[in-house]
Amino acid sequence: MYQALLALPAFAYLVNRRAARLLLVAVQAFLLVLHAAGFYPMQLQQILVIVVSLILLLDPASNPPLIALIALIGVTPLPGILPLIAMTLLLVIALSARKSHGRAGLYAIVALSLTLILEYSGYPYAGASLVLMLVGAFPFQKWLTDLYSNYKSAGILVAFTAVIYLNENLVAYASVAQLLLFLGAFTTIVGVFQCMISRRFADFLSTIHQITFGILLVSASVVELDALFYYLLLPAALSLTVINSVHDGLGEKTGEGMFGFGGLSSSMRVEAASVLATYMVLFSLVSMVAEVLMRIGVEGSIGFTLLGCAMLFSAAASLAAFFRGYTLIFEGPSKSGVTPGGSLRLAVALVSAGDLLLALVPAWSLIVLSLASGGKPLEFESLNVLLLVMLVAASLSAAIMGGAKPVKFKSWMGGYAGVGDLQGSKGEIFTSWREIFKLVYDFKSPDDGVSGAMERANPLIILAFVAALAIVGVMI
Amino acid sequence: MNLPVLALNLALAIAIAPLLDGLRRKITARLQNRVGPPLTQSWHDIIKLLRKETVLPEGAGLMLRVLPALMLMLSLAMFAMIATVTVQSPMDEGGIIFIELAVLSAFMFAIAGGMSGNPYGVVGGSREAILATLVEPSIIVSLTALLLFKGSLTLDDASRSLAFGGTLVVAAVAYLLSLLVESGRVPFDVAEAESELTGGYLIEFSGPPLAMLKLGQFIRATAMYSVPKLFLTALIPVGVTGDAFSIAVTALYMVSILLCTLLVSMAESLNARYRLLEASKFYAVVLIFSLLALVIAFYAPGWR
Repeated sequence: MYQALLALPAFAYLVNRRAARLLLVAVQAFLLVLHAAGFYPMQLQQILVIVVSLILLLDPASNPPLIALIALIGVTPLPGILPLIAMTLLLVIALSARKSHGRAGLYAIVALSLTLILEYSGYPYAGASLVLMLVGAFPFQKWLTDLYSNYKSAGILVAFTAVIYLNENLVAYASVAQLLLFLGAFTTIVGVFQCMISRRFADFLSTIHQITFGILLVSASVVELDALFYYLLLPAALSLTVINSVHDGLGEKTGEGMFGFGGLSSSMRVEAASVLATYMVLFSLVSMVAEVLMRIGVEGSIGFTLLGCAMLFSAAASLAAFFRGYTLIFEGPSKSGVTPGGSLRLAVALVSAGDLLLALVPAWSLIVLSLASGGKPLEFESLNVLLLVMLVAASLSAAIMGGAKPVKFKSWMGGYAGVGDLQGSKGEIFTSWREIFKLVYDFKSPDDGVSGAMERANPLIILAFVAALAIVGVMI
Repeated sequence: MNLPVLALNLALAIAIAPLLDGLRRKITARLQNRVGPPLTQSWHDIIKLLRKETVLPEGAGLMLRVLPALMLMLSLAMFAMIATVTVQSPMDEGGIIFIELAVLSAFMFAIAGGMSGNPYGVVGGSREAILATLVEPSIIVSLTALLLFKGSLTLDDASRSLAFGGTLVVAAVAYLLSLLVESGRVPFDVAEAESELTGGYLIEFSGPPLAMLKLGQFIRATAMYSVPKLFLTALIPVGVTGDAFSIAVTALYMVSILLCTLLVSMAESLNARYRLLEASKFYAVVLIFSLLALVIAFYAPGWR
């Protein structure tokens, strides 16, 4: 009952945006107080959803109604009569918000609502449409990029809520575990390939979203990976959320986008730290899951073995593509010569250090949390060795490079590409990737066509169509 | 973790890796009717570089500074997984991490080139990235097939296993063919543009960082040359145990690295150059061999 309060800010948004934001914070704080007082006991996952949505509200560009609605779904227990009421409210708000908030967010809400209906009606594959859409798998990839272009914070919360939802309902997907496994691996690998050629931050984030979801789907279908979900995926998703929210806020304050001020000033290294931290989280996730899959595969499954091999290769290969792009954008001589003052310099250093600290969360959370819960720590030999290698290498570099002499080569060296150059050209390694995997990249999926048709369709028609399918499914 | 053995392994890596490169250069020279440099030439080169000052391009970022040491540490970490003159390796585990380190370090060279901002560096790095993209899947799959065949994820257990079968033969062929590409020598080299293309990724490094990169490269190659020992242990007669077994395994390690050095030198001297993208057919064959080894390991127990 109490969680229905979360719908209020969405209505308030139609009248006054600032009031909606404040109301949402108040409602969420109220729910947490109720939980602390014992009036409204919530599970850890539900509390996490509220905490994440509070963090996302720090971002001035965030959309309070979307956050409120997704948080509502996240904290609503299934099954029950309340979801139906909540769903009705959601649809009303979504349709009201349609004109001003575009279709991407709208479809996210519709997908979540549909899942609730199907779940309530007892349809066996209730989460299928939600999974496909939230994972950004074919044919929904375009929607995901749109979501990140327009409502990044909502995208993150959708991801987080969906992660929790899916994990809570693993049993419902037991019959399609093999399909989920294939879809998860496929999504992860496609995500890595897309990541290598992404040229906008929205693309970059949506591919990370895809990879995280792919890994989730793999973990959802393998019992042995349950600890991976609680001790790795959740901390990783949280640290990604914090990194992205803080930097969204910074970008908004300075009036520059993610690729904007990082590339234009040699001193503003905050964005570089953010992107590097995000990538480190991603790399930790993919390489750890690769190791787990190979371990399981060696026990007797060629499928897991091949998946593990593919993920291991994708993780390593993504290094080359990522650092090529990273160097082009964030390193090299300053283009603008902006020199921040003392206090800003301190702030930059603190935020950068915070980012890099957050990037280590997934690497250590698995060991720390499993120890804290009294269980045997899961050992990941590759990550431990890699952390040790990086630590020693950094110390050695600091010792040797301290006396390095910088030399200008401007006469014959082109210098580093600026943001415009990067957006205008693909970069050498990206081009190579396209050449080598020409068949993969040339494959024209009907994504655009299908997405276009769906965007033109009225959400209510889609809702009716899927509801009809659900009824047929229940009758069968 | 066995610290004394680890120290011994790392000291051995730093000592013998440049010597093996010297041996390769000597063999190649002899095959081409030249005298060639002395065996210790690579050592002299590294010592000379260590004495020189470090020069970096203006605006060199964090990654460009860290990369040489990272490359060296990755290679040393690879070597730490291998049992060299002892039967037991310093690390208890090692199978998967060895594969991961091998693949990561291969892509590190590509990163080094791309980061310098130098056009030659970018082209050289791009070339390394293509080679790594094409050959590393074969390395991953063939090594995984080998571990599967040996029935253990630890390299130690794998080297103790004397089993012989179809998987071992096919995986060995795939791995050795991959090694030729990994070495970056002819027929996968461009002798006419050695410093601009093949070594292009090193162009902006100098002094100690360049020494670290070169040493890392030598150590990585030696670590990769050590793997065929796991194939060769199948040659040890079943009854051999105790000290005799230890001596046999150590001898096979020496045979393994010398054999690989000879193989790479001969391939370098006796083959014409491939164009990079033409060579993709070769890589496809190697990958098919690797996958075949994996399929046999899983589905053809009779062949195992």
